[in-house]
Amino acid sequence: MKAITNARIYTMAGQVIERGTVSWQGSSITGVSDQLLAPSSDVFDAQGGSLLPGLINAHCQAGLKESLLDYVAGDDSNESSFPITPQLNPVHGINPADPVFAAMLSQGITTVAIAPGSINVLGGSVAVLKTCGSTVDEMVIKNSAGIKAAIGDDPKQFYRAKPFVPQTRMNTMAMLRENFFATRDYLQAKELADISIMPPYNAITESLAPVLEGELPLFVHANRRDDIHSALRLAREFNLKLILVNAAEAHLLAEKLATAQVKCILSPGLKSRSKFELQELCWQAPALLSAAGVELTVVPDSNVLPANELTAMATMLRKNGYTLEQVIAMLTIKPARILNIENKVGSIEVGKNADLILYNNEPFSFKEEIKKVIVNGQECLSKGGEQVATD
Amino acid sequence: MLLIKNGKIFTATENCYQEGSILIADGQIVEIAAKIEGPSEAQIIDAGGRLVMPGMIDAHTHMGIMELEIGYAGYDNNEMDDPISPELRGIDCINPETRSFADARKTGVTTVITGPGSQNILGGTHVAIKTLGYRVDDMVVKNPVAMKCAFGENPKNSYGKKGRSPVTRMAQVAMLRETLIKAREYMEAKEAVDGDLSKMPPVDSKLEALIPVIKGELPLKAHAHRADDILNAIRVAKEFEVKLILNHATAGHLVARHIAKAQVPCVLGPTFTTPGKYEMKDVTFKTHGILNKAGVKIAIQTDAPISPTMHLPLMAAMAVREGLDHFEALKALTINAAEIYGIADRVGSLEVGKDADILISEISPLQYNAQAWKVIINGQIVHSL
Repeated sequence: MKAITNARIYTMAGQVIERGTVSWQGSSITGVSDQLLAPSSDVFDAQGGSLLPGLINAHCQAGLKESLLDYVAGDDSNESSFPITPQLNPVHGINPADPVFAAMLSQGITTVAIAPGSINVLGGSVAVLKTCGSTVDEMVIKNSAGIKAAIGDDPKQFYRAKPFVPQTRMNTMAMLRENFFATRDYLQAKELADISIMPPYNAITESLAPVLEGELPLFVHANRRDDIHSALRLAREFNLKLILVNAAEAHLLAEKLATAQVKCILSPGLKSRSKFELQELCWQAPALLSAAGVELTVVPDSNVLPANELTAMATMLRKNGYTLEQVIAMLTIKPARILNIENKVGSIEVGKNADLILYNNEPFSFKEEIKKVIVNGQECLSKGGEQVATD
Repeated sequence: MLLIKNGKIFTATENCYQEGSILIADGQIVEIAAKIEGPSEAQIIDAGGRLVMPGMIDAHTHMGIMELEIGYAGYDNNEMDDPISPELRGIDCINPETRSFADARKTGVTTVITGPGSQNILGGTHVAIKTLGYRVDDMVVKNPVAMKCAFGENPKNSYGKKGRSPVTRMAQVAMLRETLIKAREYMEAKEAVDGDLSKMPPVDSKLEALIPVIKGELPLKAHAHRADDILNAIRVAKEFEVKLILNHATAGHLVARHIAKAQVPCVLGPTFTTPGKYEMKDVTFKTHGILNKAGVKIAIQTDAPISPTMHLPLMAAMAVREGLDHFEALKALTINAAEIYGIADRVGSLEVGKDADILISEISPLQYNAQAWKVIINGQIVHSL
């Protein structure tokens, strides 16, 4: 058994434990209590530091669009040969040697959802991985948390230049509907058929089937209000579970999203308003959506995550009306629920993965120092400050 | 007249805070003292112990020039026709209506350096402007403040991939050197005219624009990320005895000693950006503290709109977290930037005779929950909570 004692524990499952102990065996948490243990080689004295569940980045392209390589060699984020590719899975394109993983780990990000980019109307699965590991296979905790779709500027802008379809928002939506209709027919045919008249295997409809059956959500990249309304219309027509990604204008229709029980993965503020559809980006968006009752998390949404950004975003959220505990929830238990992995991660509870960050001082204050990062019970980072080379 | 009373003043001339008041008349600071009984007609701002500091300077941007949000229509950043384009001037394409300027005012950024991008080896001149105004000519603090040049991946990508020079870093430096040599000869030929117009060389607007650089009056502002690009810039500047400012200097911490020895100032940032290019692989907020300790003068930039200008203090705060001294960070946001660009006679510190560009903040802008309480430009209150 290993343990961290004498820590302020933000369990994200009930009250903060002012002084307590978290213990684990192998990769699982076995104890969370307000009792202190005597320090030993297996029991680390946190000296009053803050202990948090590992942070979760709910949407990025880490390792898929590699941070250091130029476009062709290191970019596997968009299969831009054809706009409908839901059968793809990032697991087969992620390079775990990309330094972005070490950088995320050094900031306490222990779980990451990786999705294809936003060029294709249907891009592929959203895979969920731990950030610690040398092979993708040992890092994956969920092969598919849903299917990524994209509407709005990106698909039409890319394919119009080719030229190919879609060239308009109308066709983007028509192509989505066409594929869900095809999936519906395919499933009906499979259900009715005996083996002699089985419909031929179709990778696209096979991969959309769990979305149509409500087992997996559709992650829709949409920014403008009209695009978000289009996504809501699609979800109503096919009874889909919807998660909005980016959603720059979501706060302008917060009530509607709350009523429709749509969850959001937002990227407010930290990036530039680089496109027309991003003009309404603002730091107030998360608070407005939360107040309306929309479940959400935030992500930096760089193509590849600069290491510091998620924690800097967390700090900026504190400045914009959230308490520290609300911010921690937004980066731990809430994304865990959105990604449907809350049985494994997102809070400090017995039975969950021992993914922990220990801070020497106040988290998300621009002054925080990370003392330890633990993933699956293994210490992945222990430091008094990362060293950089200098002459 | 405007009187700011009860301030906790950071003048940027010393690493300390002092209690006091500031009197402003005709857009300028006329008195700073522990206590000032201003004339009765003066409008009074009671700072109530809040931090009073010089308006911040975003030391490298493309504000008003690169309007990302409207796409091609607003993209005036890089004239990608000739990699040697020193005759271009940033001031000719600044749209004061760009929302970045409003963002800047709300943050307490009162002066920005703006100008062309880094796709050309020589891209044109940068200008220092206030973030308040409807006509760029009214906003100018100094024009030009630097001649933009670029090393590394950007010029290679823009031209090399089209099969044009420069394809390699070698060609970049060779083309820059050749141009500087021609500019020097052109300048000398013009000087030798001495009244005999028959000896006048044919006008060359590219070389003409470089004469102030050759004379050491206008610094070259060199876009360089990688250590070898930084050293290339230093080598060329030394050869031609021209003034140099290093822009970005992402790997600056790897060659801190050489930058310090050459006494070249660095405009660091934006740091909050995707390391989407190999030349940015060493990006870290530790660079700021390491260079400062090595004795290099540093300023901070957002590269707005590449990253939003309202995050200028946030970048300084991250650098403080990674080792930069608090007061040195405040100087990097103010007086250092002014000195680097030769505008310290007007902005960058709170001193008698300087422009009344002032940020009043509840707490240090380097703290996460800081907000600009009042922002003053040219003695005019432009933001108020």
